[in-house]
Amino acid sequence: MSIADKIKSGDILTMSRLIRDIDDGMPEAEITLQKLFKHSGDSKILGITGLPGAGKSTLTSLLISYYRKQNKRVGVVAVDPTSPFSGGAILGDRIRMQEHNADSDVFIKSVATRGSFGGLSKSVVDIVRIMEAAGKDIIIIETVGVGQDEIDVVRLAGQVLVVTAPGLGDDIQAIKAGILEIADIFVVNKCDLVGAEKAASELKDAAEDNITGDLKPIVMTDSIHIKGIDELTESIDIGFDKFNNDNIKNEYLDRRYRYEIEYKVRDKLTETIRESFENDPVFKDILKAVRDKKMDPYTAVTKIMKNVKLT
Amino acid sequence: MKRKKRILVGKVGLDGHDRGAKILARAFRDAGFEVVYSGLHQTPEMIANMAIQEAVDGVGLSLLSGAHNHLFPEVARLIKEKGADNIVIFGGGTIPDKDVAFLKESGISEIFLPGTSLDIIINWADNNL
Repeated sequence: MSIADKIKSGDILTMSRLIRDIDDGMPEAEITLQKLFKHSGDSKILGITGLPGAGKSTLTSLLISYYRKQNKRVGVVAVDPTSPFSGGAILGDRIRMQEHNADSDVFIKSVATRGSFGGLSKSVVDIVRIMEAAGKDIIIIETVGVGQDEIDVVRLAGQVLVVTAPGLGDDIQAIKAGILEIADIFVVNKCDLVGAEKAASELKDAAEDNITGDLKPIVMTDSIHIKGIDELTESIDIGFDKFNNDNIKNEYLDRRYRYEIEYKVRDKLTETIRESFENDPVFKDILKAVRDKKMDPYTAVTKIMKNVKLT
Repeated sequence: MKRKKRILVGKVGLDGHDRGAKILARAFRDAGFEVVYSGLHQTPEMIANMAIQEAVDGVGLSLLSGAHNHLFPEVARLIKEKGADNIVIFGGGTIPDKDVAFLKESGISEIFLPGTSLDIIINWADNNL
């Protein structure tokens, strides 16, 4: 059986090894991904983002339980930050999802950002594809704890939950211009704590859709005492039902594939340019000319754009 | 292309002492490893599933309850049974000298006894994973 066929049959060992190869940038993994492409695009992809400590992982665990009760197969990609100093990482999200460790229909993958800035790792888009091809009905992407600008998840997920918690005070202000805009549903978690109502009311401005004026759902949850989860899952289900409309589905797929292609092109270009500076005499001459003040960096950029060898 | 090393630090069985496991996890992080920490009270089955899903190079088991002769070999057996015999398993905790030989025969590559310094463990993992 080929690797692609094994993945389509849901073979866990093959899936996890291929994901490892992708994370490690092994070029041969791409051949399998090409074969898997036509078996992807139909799963529900739910993004969960928000500040560190807001309760994203615990909430994810409750959502896994919800989908497992419906006998849905679940994939989770949980992203945690890579240390800029050692290159190491502690991947601690799945500690909150322990109860699913013995369930063979729940596949949880922890990944580190490895230098990516958008709140995801470079590999997430391909990991999602593998999970889709392996027949996961729902795939939950949990981003790193984010602040303002880490919004890549909105380009990949069909729906995004932005999770916050009371007591974060000014942080809500701080994120107003950034991730609040990408939410489909707002979650005020830890709603048993003082200030939950205030946190929810402060979100009302951001919850008004810029275009339609509709109010996006603001759901209060308490993951420890399991409150508000039914309301949350209902909002998520309503959100995914919209994808039964072909126009909405196509709009989403266009966004997703455009992001993926743009990201990959940019990645390859960055690598090509980096290599050219090391190996190509034309690039070296340009750099020397700038250093000697015979050329300005703006002209250098134009020249490099003309000389970059696209393969 | 150089692979990043990945490791699962696992707490198995009824043992609530995870200070050591957390210190170890952090030391591995500082040595450049990607570390998945299992959390407390995992069954051997759960540890094996995690190790496979996360495609780690090694599993480091920490146990202070005295049940290592039962639980460590079971983790090794399950990981092998699930086809991931490339994963190196090692362990440590309050383990007496006299149990080391048995554990090594049961699929555990190395046992670190009380008092072992972090450097020794990290170096071993660096060379053997």
